[in-house]
Amino acid sequence: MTKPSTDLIDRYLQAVGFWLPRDQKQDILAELSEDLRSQLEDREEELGRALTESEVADLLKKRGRPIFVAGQFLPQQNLIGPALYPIYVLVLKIVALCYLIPWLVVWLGILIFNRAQSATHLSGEWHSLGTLWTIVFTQFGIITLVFAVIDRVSVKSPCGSDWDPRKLPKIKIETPVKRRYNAVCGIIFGIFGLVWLLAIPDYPFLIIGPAAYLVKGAPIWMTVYWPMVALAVAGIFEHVVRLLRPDLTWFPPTFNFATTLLSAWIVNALLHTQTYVLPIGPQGAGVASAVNLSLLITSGVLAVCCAVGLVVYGWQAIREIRRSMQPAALHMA
Amino acid sequence: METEVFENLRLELRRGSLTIAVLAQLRTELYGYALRKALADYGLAIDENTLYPLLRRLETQGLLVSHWREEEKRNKRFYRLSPQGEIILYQLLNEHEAMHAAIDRIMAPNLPPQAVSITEPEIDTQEKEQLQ
Repeated sequence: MTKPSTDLIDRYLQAVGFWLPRDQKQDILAELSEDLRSQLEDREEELGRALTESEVADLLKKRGRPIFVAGQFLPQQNLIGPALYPIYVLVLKIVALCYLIPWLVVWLGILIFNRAQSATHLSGEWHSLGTLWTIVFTQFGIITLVFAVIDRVSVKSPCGSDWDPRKLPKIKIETPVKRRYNAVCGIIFGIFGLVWLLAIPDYPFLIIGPAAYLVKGAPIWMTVYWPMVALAVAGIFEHVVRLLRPDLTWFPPTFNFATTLLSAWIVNALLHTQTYVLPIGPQGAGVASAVNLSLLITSGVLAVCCAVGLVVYGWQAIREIRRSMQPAALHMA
Repeated sequence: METEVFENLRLELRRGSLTIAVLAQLRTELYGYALRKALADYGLAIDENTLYPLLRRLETQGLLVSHWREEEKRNKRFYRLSPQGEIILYQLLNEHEAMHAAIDRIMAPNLPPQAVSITEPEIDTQEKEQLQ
């Protein structure tokens, strides 16, 4: 009959062996077995009797779970090594910031808009959200796979010793003079932009060129025109504040967040109209459809830009407001 | 939290020292269990889950040689230091000594003269008190 201790040890070793590489399995198990039996004998010698099953179980428990024990013999592996890991995280952040967050914001916008328009079933929106998660996991999976492959095959690591410190980017310092110069330029160009915008209703060729003789603005522009003028005025106001009160670090991102919110409202209105110009005569029909299509695509791109802007400015505004509320000594740090 | 930080740093500190201790002990041939007991007798207890993978790694690196032999009616794997391991051991010992001496010099001005050596356990307490 098999001793209970032998039976338990054999079962333990079998469980360890399951996780070991085939070529080393027998060798490692033989050594572990010898160590276990030596320890068992020593203990039995101390006690002057054979160990009970529970005492053997305690001894094995102290050694650790079989998977853990086997794991110590396996080579330490990582999917993406420390040299590439920071770049990998950066790429994931870029993908999340430039694609996934705007997608989510746009999805939320569509959801809110559709809810306001009608009380139809939510299944369509939920389905599109499911698609988003599929895209998220696919993109993250592909990026991880690409980096894992680069990590395996790259001979020359970007963290190697072959680099020149003199090629590092220069420190970005915005001097007061440069800051004032930028603010003044912003005001001048802002005024030019405002004048141009105010002149458009009387001189439509300023925006669509010779096509102004073939097409005219659709009614949507009556809705969004003054908000656009308000945006142009806000832009000038922002540069004036930057010039006079450069110490208000929280102001630019907070103000930009507010103006981006207004821009998002304008873009939303444009996206839902889809008719931006109307043909003046029969010869203008082709031009009108081409302009409408190009403005629809532009509105789509602007919607994504607004979504990114809201996230970035929102984050910057929160950070700057929190910083401005901290004591001055911490600012220095 | 403090205990966790200490534990991580202690393990980090131990890792290198254990390699030196194992190499030094294996100047005479021993099998795994006997090596573990010998190290424990010198006050350096080592977990079997650490020792055996370490022995295999050192053997792969060419610092140890091993062979199976029957002793007390059981097959045992005996390890001993290889000629290359001997060179590396003395290099490591020099490095360890230099580091130890440097730490002693760093600590010396801040400690009472009788407690210059950092190897004495009570220094930890004194150092802790000083930091507080």
